[in-house]
Amino acid sequence: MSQNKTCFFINRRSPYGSSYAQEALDMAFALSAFEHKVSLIFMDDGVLQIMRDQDPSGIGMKNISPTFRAWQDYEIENIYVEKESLEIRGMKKSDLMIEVKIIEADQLGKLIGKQDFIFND
Amino acid sequence: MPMLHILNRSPNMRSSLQSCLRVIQKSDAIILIEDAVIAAKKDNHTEAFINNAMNVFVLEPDLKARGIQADQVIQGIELVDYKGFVKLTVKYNGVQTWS
Repeated sequence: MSQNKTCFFINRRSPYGSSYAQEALDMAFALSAFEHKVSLIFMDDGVLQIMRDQDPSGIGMKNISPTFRAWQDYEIENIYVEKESLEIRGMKKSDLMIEVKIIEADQLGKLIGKQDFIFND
Repeated sequence: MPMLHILNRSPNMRSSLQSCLRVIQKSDAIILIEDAVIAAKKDNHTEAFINNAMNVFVLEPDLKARGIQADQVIQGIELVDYKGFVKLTVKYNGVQTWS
């Protein structure tokens, strides 16, 4: 059994309504630090996590979005966004703060079939 | 008796928005706060429901937190700050939260 596993996060929650987004982020970084191969996709309300120009100062919360820029320094393998999730929210690729690969739900289905571990919430 | 209906959940995760819109009366008002502000964004798939509603407000600090700018909000929805929110709760006879 190989030491390094492929770990895939399906981030489906909005950034400030709960702590799911922050916790998935912490976990992805931790796994990456232990040299597992981490990839992730933003799906459903998760696409809002990488919306540009977030400013939660008015609701007394910490801005989680700058952390996503730090991903360049970590070895996060691939960052995806599911196409339909963007479309039904009236969002475009230009609304996003980081470079991502936009994929269809069917491609996602194929992709998750290849992973050792999937974290979905 | 005119009521203020507060929505605080994402319209994509629950059906609270649709249920509330089925129930509200013409003299009532809705305010979108927390994750419900997602419903105020132009071109989102619940826009058609919102367009049929009267007196819709959205809490601006929650919009800003999520990177949704004022010019991306559906026309006809009024932005309010926390003070405006409090004023609405006073103006209407009752307050009902749809979580």
